[in-house]
Amino acid sequence: MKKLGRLCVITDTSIQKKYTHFQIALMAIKGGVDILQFRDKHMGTAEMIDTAIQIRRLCNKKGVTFLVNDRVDIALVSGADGVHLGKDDIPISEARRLLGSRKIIGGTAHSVNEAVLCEKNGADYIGFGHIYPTFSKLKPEKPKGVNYLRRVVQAVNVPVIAIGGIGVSNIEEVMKSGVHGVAVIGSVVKSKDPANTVRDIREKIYAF
Amino acid sequence: MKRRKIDFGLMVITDIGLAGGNLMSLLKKACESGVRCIQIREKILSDAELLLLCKQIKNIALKSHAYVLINDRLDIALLSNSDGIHSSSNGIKAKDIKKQSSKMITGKSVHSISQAKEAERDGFDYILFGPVFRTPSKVRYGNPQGLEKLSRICNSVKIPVFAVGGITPLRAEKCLEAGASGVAAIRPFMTSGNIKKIIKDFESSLGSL
Repeated sequence: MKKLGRLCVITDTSIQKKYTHFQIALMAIKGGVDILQFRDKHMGTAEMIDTAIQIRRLCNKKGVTFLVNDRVDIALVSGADGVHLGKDDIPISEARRLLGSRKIIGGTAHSVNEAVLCEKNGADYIGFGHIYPTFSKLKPEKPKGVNYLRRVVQAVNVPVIAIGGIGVSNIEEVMKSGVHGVAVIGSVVKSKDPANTVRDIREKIYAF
Repeated sequence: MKRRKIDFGLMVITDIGLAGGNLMSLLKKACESGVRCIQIREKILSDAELLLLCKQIKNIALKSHAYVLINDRLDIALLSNSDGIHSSSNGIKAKDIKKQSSKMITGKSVHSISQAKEAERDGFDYILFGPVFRTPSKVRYGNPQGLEKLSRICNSVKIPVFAVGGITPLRAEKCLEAGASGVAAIRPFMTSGNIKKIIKDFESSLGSL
């Protein structure tokens, strides 16, 4: 498995229409992102594959890790570095059968128990959240906060990536939990200068 | 790219929303009645649920060596050991499927002659054209395209054409006359009180399943 970077930007075209997936990828890479995660819940399969291949090529050139959200088929066909899977997606152990041991598989957790389970099922990292209030997704649950995040970090041996409402203003508080890294969406695509915002977050992460 | 020979004439398409809890018993009876091909096309399930369902259906189909095709999803098809993929109009390309698994049967939904030709060029093994007749499942694709259009589609490609949309045993015969290799349907099977009889009727109008 590739060494997992600390800053992940998720491309999302549902909370904003200003940028395409590819444009977000370009800006994030300009700002020095480590991991790009392509996420689209509505696009047809053919278009998803085309988009994923475009972004994957860009990421390869720049040495950025490229992950696909939910869709193992898209990851497989586009030659992505891995997938990020939620609880209702293809199970981690099944995805591993298709992708092999060298690809990265991340699992979403909303509790200590789910994080432990993801690790047991073979996840290479845990995506945990949401930490702060966020509008990037409809959240039925309350924000978890950084104290609970610390418990998750301590409960598993794989890297934890925190997600949900994270931006320049609270990144230091998040990193204090001992978390490996963070994933960002809204704070980047809704900022005036996304590339610069990525750069600011990155500097604070690596200065920590 | 090598094409797979298509050796079935009737495609049963699933819809768990219509069949509900009867889905498995309907498919079991369909296989016992000699159905050679099931396409799993479920839009309301999560991926985890869909994978489980596909494995269960593949298990049922295994006993009679019926093919199981999965709508659009290469990952689910591979993990459930299914026989192929039916690609929707904005779905995966044949070359992307065959690169991962050269043995898979590949089919494509088309709604026009240009789409039919494109699917043939892309390397698909068969195409599914419709809606030929009026059907509640396909209202979003607009008006029925009719037998004449079906016939033009069949004349425009060399690969087998399956007709879909409002198909009944009686209409199946008309589709064959128009040049189709076979037919596909959802409702006659998913909402049937007597699936064995329906399949027998299809068998006699198609000549074989």
